[in-house]
Amino acid sequence: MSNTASLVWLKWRLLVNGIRNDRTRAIGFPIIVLGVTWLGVFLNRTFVSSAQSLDPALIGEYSVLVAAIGTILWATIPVMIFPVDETLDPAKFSTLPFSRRQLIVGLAAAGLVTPPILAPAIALGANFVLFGSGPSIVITLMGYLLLLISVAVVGQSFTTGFSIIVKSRRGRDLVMLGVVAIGVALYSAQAFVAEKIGEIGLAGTIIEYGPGNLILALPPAAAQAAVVAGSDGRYLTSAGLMALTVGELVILGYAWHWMLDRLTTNPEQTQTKSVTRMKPMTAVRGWSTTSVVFRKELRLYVRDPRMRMVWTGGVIFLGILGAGVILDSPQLNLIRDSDWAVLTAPGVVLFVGLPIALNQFGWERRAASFLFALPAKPRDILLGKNAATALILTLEATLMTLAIAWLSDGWHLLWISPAVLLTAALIQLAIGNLASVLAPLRLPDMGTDVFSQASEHGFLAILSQLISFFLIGLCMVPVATAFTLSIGYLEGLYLGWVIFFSVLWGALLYGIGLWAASRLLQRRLPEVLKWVSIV
Amino acid sequence: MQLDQSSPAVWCKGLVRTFGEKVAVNNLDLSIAPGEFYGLLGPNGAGKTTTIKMIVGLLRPDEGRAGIGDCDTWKDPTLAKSRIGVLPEEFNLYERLTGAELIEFAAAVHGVDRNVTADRRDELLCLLDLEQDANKVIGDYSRGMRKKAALAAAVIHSPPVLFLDEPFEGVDAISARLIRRLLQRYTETGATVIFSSHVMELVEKLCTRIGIMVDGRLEIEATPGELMEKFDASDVEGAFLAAVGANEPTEGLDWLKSPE
Repeated sequence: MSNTASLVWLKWRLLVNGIRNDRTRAIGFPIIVLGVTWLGVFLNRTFVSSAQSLDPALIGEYSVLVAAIGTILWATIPVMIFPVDETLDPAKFSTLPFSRRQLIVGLAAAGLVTPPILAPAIALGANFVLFGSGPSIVITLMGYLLLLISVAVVGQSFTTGFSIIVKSRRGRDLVMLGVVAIGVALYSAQAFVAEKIGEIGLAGTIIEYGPGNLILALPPAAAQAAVVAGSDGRYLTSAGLMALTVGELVILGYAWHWMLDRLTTNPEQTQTKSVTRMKPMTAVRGWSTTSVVFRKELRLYVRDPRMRMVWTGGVIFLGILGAGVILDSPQLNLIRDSDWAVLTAPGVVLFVGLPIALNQFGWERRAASFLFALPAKPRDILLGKNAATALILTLEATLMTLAIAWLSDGWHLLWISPAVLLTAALIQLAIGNLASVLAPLRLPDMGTDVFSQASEHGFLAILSQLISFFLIGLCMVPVATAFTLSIGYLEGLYLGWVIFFSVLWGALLYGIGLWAASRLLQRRLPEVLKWVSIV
Repeated sequence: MQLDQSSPAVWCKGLVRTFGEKVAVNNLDLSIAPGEFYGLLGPNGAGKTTTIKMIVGLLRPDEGRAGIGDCDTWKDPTLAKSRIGVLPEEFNLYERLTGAELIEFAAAVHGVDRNVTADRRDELLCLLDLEQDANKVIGDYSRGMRKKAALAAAVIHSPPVLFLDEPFEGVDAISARLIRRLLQRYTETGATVIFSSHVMELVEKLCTRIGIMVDGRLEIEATPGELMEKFDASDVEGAFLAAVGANEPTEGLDWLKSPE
């Protein structure tokens, strides 16, 4: 077996062994295959129908744009959210004798052995509908394969570049800004395009704002342009564009190898100075298990960049709001025109905090065995963790609420917001505690950071969080109904009672959730430990 | 906290744990008296770490019971854990806490008074030569420093029973000496230590009794002297190798001499 093939084999074995030996992967795999297949078919149909609605002369340029934008999203979204598949870690075979070509070609090929690639593969299959008739089918097929390889290479090299940043501690500390920047840039681009399409239509936007030949610097765009040229009978141009794509891929391959080299040979920068001094735990009042767990959590929230990444979600939202204000986006009218917008801020924050609230012990990672070897009562651990989460939620929700109140001029409802937040936070923590004990999710160890949140468990992670989120929403229904009735229909009548009973309802659910989760944790502690500490 | 001297400090009865087809611990009975420095030895995969994990409440046994003093670990895990300190084989520490904070955290959960903690923390940091690095996060610690920080966290509450799983693995000679010094002081108080190690020289020097596990079973229990006598060996290492039936490889691997 060649070295290149051995990397493909390795990826395949990791996939198959993962499914065979891990029940959650076995469950998650068909779900994710179905999910990405559906996504691919949806994108394929959308691509075809939108292209067919255009003047035939514009379809080619449109498809090149779609290929370029699709690739950018493919590369950036895993960094923004999380991947649904684990990539091969080059550090693990850095001592093996791979040549540069073998390594890059092998990794690129292995990048195609992954369920999520089904989505772009099916979506880009639209090329066969749009350009694949007649003798050009061979060119379409060649262009399609080049396109797919380009997508895999661009995505993986972007991930590698990001890995270099997060490899150092300082990089991990700064990566939050990068993610916010990517989020704001993507939103701004989307808002701009949406606005222009609204004003002058899709065709007009392509004619007026088409990127021209410059876009061909992106390998997927060049590959797509080769398909278009082939379908027009410009075979020489098509061949030239394919050669251009291959050339770009070779250059990108060199850059990728250079990054991999840095990634696997440069040791992580060590931090020589002491961390920001915080008050010693011994110097703080309150020396109970709950209070020290609370303080430990706060320290980790401040110092652990991966935890900070979770809370960055709120900052991304604020960044997007800011970008919307600068661009004067009409999408912001939803917020501007809504009297209720200010009360939605806690909802946004709670959504952002879900990955931590619903997986309290997963974030302990292997340190869970340190915590669980201590004689701490499960109730005290949960209380300490919940208090820290609630504090962060409150801070973030306050910022968000003020921003939305400013945008929507909803200051008159501001005083109700704390009650809504408190109720929602109590309910979220109640469900979160149960989910954390019943369905803990493992997280990878330090070093792999942001884009390895759940590897192939990503879909199951999303699923369990969605179910929990649904339950949280269900518990919030009576609260939302009461507020709506009082404010919307009864001009604030009984609002005091509504607030009182809402908080009481939240407290009741929290009490029940804490009680049940503590007992479950007492019984399931080794199981939770086993689950969260495997990397 | 002291244990009742009349009953075993650490015990397990009929302990069984399997991982799929593999029986990691097979019907293990163990009884360690208060004040003993007990060496749990065995080749890789013999079940030492699994046994320790089951006794300290980190891994549920399939069958059997385990406990600390008069407390069954699996009936009252919180009480059992309050009586022990654990230095695990793997470094499962909070990477983003400083060494000092880790020790303080462990002390607080064990209910040690704040002022007492501050004094003990400083003393331990000094003894283990971690003073200069006390305010660095553990993620920046070397392997030896992590081991020392974990050991300090394990003894901050002066537990009557201490579990040490490979405390000298990957530790340099200077750190090893510091750890040994701490253990010697600790055992002078009459505490019980359960010690798993592959460093036979230290086992011979420190342990008052040795248990050798093979394939999940406790094959032999004896003092170092009895062990050497039984296997007619000049040291514990020789006795251990004879006990587990380890043979010197005498043939094969000739190709290593002439690599292609």
